[in-house]
Amino acid sequence: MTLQAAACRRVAPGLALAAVVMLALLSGKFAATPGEVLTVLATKPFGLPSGLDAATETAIWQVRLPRVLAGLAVGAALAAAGATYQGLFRNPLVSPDILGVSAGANLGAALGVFLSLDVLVIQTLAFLGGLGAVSAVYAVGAAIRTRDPVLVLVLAGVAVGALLGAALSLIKILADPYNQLPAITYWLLGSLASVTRGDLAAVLPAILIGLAPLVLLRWRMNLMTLGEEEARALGVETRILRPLLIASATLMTAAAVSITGVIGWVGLIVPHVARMLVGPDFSRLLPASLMLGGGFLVGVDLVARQAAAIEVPLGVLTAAIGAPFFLWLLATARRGWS
Amino acid sequence: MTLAAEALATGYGDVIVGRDIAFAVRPGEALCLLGPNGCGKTTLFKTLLGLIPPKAGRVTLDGEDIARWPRRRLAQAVAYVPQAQAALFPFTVAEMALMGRAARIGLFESPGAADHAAVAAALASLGLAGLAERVATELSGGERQLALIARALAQEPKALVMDEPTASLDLGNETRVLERVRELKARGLAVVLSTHDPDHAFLVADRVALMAKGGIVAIGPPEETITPDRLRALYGVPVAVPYVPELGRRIVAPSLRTAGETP
Repeated sequence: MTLQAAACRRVAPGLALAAVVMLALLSGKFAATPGEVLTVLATKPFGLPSGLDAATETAIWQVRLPRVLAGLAVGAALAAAGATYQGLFRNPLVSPDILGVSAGANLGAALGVFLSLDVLVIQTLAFLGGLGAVSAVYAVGAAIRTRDPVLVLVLAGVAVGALLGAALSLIKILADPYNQLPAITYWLLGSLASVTRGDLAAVLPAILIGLAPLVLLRWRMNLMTLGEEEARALGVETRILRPLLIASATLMTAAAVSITGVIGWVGLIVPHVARMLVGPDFSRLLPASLMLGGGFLVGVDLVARQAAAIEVPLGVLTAAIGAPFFLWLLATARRGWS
Repeated sequence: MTLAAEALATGYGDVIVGRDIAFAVRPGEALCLLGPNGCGKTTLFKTLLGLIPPKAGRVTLDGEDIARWPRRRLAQAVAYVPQAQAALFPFTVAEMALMGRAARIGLFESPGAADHAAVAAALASLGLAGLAERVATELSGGERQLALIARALAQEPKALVMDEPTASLDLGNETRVLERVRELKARGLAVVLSTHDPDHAFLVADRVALMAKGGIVAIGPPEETITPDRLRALYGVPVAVPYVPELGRRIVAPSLRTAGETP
């Protein structure tokens, strides 16, 4: 590879991400120019007046920016968690919901809606539901002693997920079909529409706390893909690192879905694409997943709010894009995990 | 570094798999474990590597019990070469071998120039320099086994534990891997390996241990230890151990008649 090509490869992802973000900030009912967007970004964070008319400023600063930032944060968190889970469970078909984080968050949120609780409480319940479900799965996995702890963990995740799914179905049956049921269904499909600046500020610390161990252990994470005994023979204390990494990825996922609802497929597809682009080394896979995940969700959200007269739920779109793409991956079985 | 098992019993949970196992492998020496499937070789290996605790007795390195050693210290002393399996993720050979450096660098560190140099040296010593950037999932079985040996060497260990390093390799790759094992021994590593082909003991081992039902039934130099009677008892089939003048050594072969030949 020539130096220019290498430099291009380094800069290109950043440029693509910036382009998607810019597009998302431009598009909407109030047409804005790139100049106006840049003016807002250059002045408002420092408390300066932008000099633009109020409607444009509000559209960019109050409405679109929080949504774009939430898309970046949530997409990046889900993709990074997915890449981590896929490595830890040595299975490229694993998504962050494998240990029941989504099932738990869904149940928590549905319960909150069912009890007509405040939005903030619903989000908290979703967050705790996600963490609680994974803790339960992990406790079950640790209690059953076998030679293949990873397999037990995955199977425990399936069982606990099914149990929580049953409870969710029960709540949906009992819920008021005119107010509560649509709200629950809406939550289950995920959306960035109602995310506020405050929501973002509330979950960003949790996402960053979850991300920190992944960044610090980015190279060592490679050894976790070898399996328990091989990794330990190479000097890795897997009994400490595995729970730590699972906890980190779970914290990121639970925090992300607590404000947007469960958005499927991002955590499964994006790490694949990232692995195709940069290879399996987690030192490169992690930043690639973060950027691609953020960019992907902002892009999908852009389609969701622009494509039709009503907003298409994100979960519908990510599945509509993700599932065919996934089948294409299976059919072509490219370098990446074949 | 001398790797030794002292009155060792191995097993999982409440199940005892092996008992009364005792041997010592000194630097520059290779011990070959022979025995039928299920005789407890793999359990013994896991115990030697400290992956599962001994049920009785102890595993020592230069006389020191390894039971309380942290994984990192253990990995600096003993490297494990597992059977080559299809890798899941498409790491390159160099990336794979680099993982052997995990015990040599800090927890949050990524490998640096010294680590890359150690990997390059390990690959070169096994004739793998040309494969460094190849994706490990696309290698042949023999190349993948050699890559795993390179990873173990990058660990810079004093002792090597190899679980059937020639399993599922063709004759050419099998011979190449065995040649490398001889070289590693000559470099002063203590090597413990298991194999399904008793003939390998003549090729690489200074001593051979015959294992059955979890215990060592005979241990000693291959020429004295590998006898037709013992192998017959071990594997349950008639085996001949004739001297072959062309090779200048004994070989091991099942004494079946060639198909079609009348007795």
